[in-house]
Amino acid sequence: MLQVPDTRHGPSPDLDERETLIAFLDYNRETVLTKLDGLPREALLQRVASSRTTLLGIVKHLIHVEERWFVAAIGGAPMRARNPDDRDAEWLVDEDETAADLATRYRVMWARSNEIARAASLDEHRRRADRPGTDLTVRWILVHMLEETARHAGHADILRELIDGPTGD
Amino acid sequence: MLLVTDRLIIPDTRGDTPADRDERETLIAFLDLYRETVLVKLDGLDGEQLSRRLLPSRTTLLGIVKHLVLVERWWLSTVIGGEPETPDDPDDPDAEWLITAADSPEPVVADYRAACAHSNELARAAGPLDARVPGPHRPDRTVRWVLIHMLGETARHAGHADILRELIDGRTGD
Repeated sequence: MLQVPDTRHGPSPDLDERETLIAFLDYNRETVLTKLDGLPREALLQRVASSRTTLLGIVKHLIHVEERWFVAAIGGAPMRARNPDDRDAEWLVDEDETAADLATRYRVMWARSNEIARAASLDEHRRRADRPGTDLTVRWILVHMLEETARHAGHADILRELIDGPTGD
Repeated sequence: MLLVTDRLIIPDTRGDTPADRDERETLIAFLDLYRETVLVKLDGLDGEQLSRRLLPSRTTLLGIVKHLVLVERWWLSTVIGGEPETPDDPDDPDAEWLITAADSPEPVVADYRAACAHSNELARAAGPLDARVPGPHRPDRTVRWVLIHMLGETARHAGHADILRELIDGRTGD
């Protein structure tokens, strides 16, 4: 059973644009992980609707999202190819991927993402991760990562509530 | 439960968020995207579906929109704009989540759109993003903090709407 102590604190109001975005992003990343706290593996892999969305699947997906947008789009590393037969394969959790491993991988990935975000200027242009040929600013990518992570935190809220009832921030 | 049998129609008018805007306009563009995303999740549903409770909590698709109207009024109109606070029901501070016969979907949607348009006016008139808000309610917050908070909160509720919609009729998607 995964234990995720809630160590979140609200973003400070005294930060500049980049650091405010990173602070809110960190808050939402942590929120996703706190939604996993205290659940056994079968609950973390429980589907509540017809789609593949599960609590642990959200974490695995977000690791890939961080890699695509920070490491590849902002950092310039080659984009890891998606499975052409199943572009959503990253939602499926392998048997040998434990919840603790995925939580650690997510934390390591977001620390790397933050370093990459701090090394770029927000007005610099980058190629889109999802639509080659289109330009985006680093600002756009950071704001996009915040909303995408918050939206998945919303999915996690509802999954957790359907699995065992708790609600909360 | 609402017995409105007409289906609510919300055409999907969302486009790409522009890639070359400054900080304020980027935040407003993403906020608009998510406000519209929440509404698109209601498209094609009748009153019973929009007010159907599928969770232990009071969350429903129409309740999310009613709640977000108050969130817009609190953070933008009151905290940033300095307008009077909309008082909570003293007996039930979360009363907006309950759907009553008075909550016809179309007026709720119109209310939300009007609140969002007013919010954008206030966000554009609010002065520098790193300035403290003028109102007495959250004097330590900056305009930037409030706008980014609003984006996170609206996107998270859009996530709630995603799953509720999927549970109601199987529709998924952006």
